[in-house]
Amino acid sequence: MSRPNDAKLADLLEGRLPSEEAARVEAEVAADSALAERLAALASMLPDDPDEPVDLPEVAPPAGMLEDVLGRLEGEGLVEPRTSEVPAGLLGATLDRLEREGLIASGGGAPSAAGPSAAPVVVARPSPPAAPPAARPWIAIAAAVAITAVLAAASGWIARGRLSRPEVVTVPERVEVPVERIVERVVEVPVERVVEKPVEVVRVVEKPIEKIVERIVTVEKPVDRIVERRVEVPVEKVVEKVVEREVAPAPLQVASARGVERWEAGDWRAVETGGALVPGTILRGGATRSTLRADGRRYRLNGGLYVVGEDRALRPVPDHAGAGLAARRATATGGDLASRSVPDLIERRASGSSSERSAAQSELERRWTTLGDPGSGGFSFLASIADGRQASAPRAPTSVGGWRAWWARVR
Amino acid sequence: MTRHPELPSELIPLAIRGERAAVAALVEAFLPRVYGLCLRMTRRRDAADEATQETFVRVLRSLGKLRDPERLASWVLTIAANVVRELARKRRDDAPLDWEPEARPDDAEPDPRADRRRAVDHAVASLDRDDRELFLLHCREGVALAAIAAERDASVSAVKSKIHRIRSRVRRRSLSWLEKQGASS
Repeated sequence: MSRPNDAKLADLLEGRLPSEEAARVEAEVAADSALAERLAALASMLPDDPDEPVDLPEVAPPAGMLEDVLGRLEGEGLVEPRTSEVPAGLLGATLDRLEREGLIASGGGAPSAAGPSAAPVVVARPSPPAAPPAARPWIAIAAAVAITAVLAAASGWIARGRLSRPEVVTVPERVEVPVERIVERVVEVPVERVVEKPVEVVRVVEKPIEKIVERIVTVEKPVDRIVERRVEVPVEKVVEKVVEREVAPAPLQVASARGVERWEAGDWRAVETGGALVPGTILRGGATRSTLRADGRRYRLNGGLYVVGEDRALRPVPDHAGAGLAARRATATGGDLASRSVPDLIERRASGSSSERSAAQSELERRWTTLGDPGSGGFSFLASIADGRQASAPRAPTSVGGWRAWWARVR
Repeated sequence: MTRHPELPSELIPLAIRGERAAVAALVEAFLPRVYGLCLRMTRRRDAADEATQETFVRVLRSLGKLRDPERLASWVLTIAANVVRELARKRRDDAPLDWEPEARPDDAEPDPRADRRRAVDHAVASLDRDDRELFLLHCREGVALAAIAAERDASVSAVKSKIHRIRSRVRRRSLSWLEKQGASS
């Protein structure tokens, strides 16, 4: 799959990509900082909103274009023409100049009806403002007509080049004067002839307007199908399999042995240097100076039983032979509770009064502690020590039967 | 972006009557936008002058038919675009183009915003005539899609789709121009 180019990124910004492709490109942009930077640069070129105006440098119209356009509009008759104003005093100055040049005669008088060609023209000067138009309306009218005539004449002179002085300006301007009165007259004109013309009467039949039926069809916009897309992302699956294996404890390696025997196949056999002693092996030492070196430790086994433990250390085993001897000695001595034999105490535990039974139980427990209990048979007690099951060692019997069984074992 | 002031609607009836002051105000209000549009569309100064004058003649002639004064600006600019198209059809000459969007002056201080404006102007100038007209009318002058669609006898969605295609092209070309300018300076 190729890396998105500028065209693809710009189309993404303009929303022109199909949704799936847009999602893919967006994911690539999110994962690639260079692409994200490129996308931001493209985005900065135009506003995000397509309806927001784009900023462009201003283009100034050429100087004088406004006047050109207005002139064109004026030429098309679409705008009223520019009005020109006659500077104040220009008229008087013009007439003075015309008088000096001998082109017009000074003094009052009625305006001449002659055209521009009938020069010199006798004109009437405008009256001074001292005479109001309402008082002497004829003066105002005469002045207006005279001015118009002067201007028209002057225009003709200028046009023909008779006034060759450029400083003389004439302005063809109409002058409006107030209307003094309006005379309404009814004029009767005789009818010369009457023309009769036949007129055809056309019957107009109204055509009925066709009924306009506006049919509104409501088309339901189909709901866009919502596609739930499940993307399966491969995940590394790590299966940890735990296999439990019974591992035999490592044997105790014998570095040297002197006068040490082990119980094997129903007999005591000498432990040899370089041999291995597995946990649970029962050892015994000779009378004196029996030593065993193993795993960097040195053991002295002075006439006792030992067993190799799970921690590969030698542990002494209680002396049961001595315990049996002490029990027999206690039986022979008799006496009160402390001196009585074990069978006696058992008998008292079975048939005495309540206090006697309690006292016999206490004495029997003391004897049990002293004499010990070899267990139900064989090396089971030793095996329990080797297994580290010391915590579950047998407890003192609490019944008569239990005491009798114990005594049978100890005796 | 600065928008040119538009004509107060109260002046329209006066302009219709041909009153000089109102007409002058109308022309003054729209002259920069109309001339700018004509110049960017034709890329020739004489053609832009002619089109501008003709636009205002037509505007004044048919101002009385404008139903919605709120749409005066869009209406004037649409007339300008039509005039440019019409004059181009009539001329059919191969006179060389004499207007280019401005480049960055050599002694100008770096101004990213101004550079971006110039870049977009160059990208718009590189578009073909029809795309350029569409972009300038809608994206620059804000003429509504519906008005453009009605003028071209096309659907709004078709015009909108075309606008997005043109905008995508303008983005790419303006960025490319900007990078070339950066590389050459």
